[in-house]
Amino acid sequence: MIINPLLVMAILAAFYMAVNIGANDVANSMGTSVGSGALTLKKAVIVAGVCNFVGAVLLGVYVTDTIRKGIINPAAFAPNPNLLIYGMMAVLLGAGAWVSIATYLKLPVSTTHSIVGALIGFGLLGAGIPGINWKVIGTIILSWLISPIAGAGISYLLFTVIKRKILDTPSPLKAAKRVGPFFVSLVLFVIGLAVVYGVSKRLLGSLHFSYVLGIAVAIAIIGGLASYVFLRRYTLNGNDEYEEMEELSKPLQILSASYEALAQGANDVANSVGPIAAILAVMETQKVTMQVPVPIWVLALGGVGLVIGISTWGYRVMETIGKKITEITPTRGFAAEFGAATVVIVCSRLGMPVSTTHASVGSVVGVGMARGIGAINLGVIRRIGISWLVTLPISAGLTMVIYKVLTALLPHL
Amino acid sequence: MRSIMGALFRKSPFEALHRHMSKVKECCNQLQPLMEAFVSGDRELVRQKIKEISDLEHEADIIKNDIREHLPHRLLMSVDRSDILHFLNQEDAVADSIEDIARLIEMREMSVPSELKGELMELVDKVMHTITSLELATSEIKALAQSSFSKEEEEKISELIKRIDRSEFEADLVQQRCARKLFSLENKIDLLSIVILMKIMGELGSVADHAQNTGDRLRGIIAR
Repeated sequence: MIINPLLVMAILAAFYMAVNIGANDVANSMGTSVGSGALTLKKAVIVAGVCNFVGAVLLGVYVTDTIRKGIINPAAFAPNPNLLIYGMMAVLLGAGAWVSIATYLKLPVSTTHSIVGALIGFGLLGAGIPGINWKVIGTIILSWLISPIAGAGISYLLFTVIKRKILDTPSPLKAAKRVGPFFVSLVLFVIGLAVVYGVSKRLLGSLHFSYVLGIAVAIAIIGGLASYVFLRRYTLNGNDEYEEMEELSKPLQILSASYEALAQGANDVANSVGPIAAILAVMETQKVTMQVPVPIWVLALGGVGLVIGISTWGYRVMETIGKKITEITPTRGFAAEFGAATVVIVCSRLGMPVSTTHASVGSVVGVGMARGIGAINLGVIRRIGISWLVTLPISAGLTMVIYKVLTALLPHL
Repeated sequence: MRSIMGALFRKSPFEALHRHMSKVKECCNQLQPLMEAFVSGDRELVRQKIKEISDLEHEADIIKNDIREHLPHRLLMSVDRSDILHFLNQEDAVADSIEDIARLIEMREMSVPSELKGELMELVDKVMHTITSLELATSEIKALAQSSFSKEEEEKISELIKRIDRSEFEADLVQQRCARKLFSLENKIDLLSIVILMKIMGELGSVADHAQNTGDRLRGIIAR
């Protein structure tokens, strides 16, 4: 493959997008762990970096496929594949520009919404209304509505269980020591399932799902037993019982934070490398069909971008957010993170690009509805809604302009 | 930065509620010394106590306003917003009544008949019982929120609220006894003194009433 200046530019634009996600969005999902004190800033950066990278590489392919060929029908570009390359460039630049403007203006926009808006913009101009897969767009928008609500529902249920089994007992600390291993097993099971599934698909060729399930169950049982032994050994310090129980729950929240970072990597990496994957496939094959799978190095590239974003700027955002949400405790944070992560990872497998931040907000509200959090500012939901509505047209518009400029400047071949 | 998570969380009011109550309690703690100075006729000490009460009441007001300002609409709270505001109002009324007592005592130079002293101080004592229980109940609100409103914590607070009710009832009885005693002395003291002493007793009763109302509001907070 010849080094193409266009490709270099596209990769830089994608990399910029990944760094931006790492810097801003990752902090939203890690903030609850930093705020509760379950993770120090340094550990949060490590957990976020490692898990985002793993999620991106092992499970990033599904949403990436949706971005590269699910929304715009590539067949529309069969007569002139280069237009698809320019278009995907425009998508990256348009979405990147809007995210940058929004970051500067401190608008809580989602990179996911920006990239989908950009794709719609390019699709309308380059392929026309029939060239866009409206059914997919409809499903995606539906998933944007459902994901925060589902996150709220799962977190509400999970926190209600915690309340019944631990908080609402004569001795919450003893109850936590008894029930804790089950929660540890639950999180390890889902993390194990996701990781082993990803490894089997990407690295081992397809392993039969029953093996994947078996390994995940084994991980869950071993982890549960280990935590049982650890909890048995734990002796109380005689402080306030609730505070000690929360202290004891910190490792559990570290697990749920890892789970959420994994899910976030799986979903958000596509926002940066999805268009690159399309460009590469077209360049390599000179066809628009994109039958070739997304190369793993592309996902790894996105993962590296995420990690760089987290470690250069993201930790500062995490610090700021962490300081603002000291009201959250490990049990509440665990319930919120588990709900958000589950929604995002399921959506990732289904190829639905969703906003991790919105799922997190929904999940926190879910815990709040179970009377778990003192005061939640619902005004935030309105702000999210507004930036939702402006993101689609603006990102689409910017992309259209950039696409026009690119096609005017660059050779049609 | 375009993060939203930080804006999602607001400071929960529970700790501040207890801070307010502690200030109100401090204010109430001046009641006994004030009344003792009053019955023993120590005008200098009375003036000093009045100043302290007035300062503490003002400090409580500042905390109250701060809590109110941080409770905008569109908050999802684990307790009802209006319950909190009413609770705060009643708690504040306790401090207000204490200040009113101080003002009544300051208003006119007068002495308290020695026969009345015992009943009057007993009334003060009973009133202070309601405040002590109220403070204890309020101090449990944080644990209540931490436990996400567990039955255990709810029962603990309920028990304390019942204690406030009992003390208020007892204060009522002492107040009636005190009034009868005052009227039995009507030939020995001037009419104006009787009027002011009656008002002071009434206001002491109000302190207990407000404490009871605050407890009632706390019940509402628990049982959302």
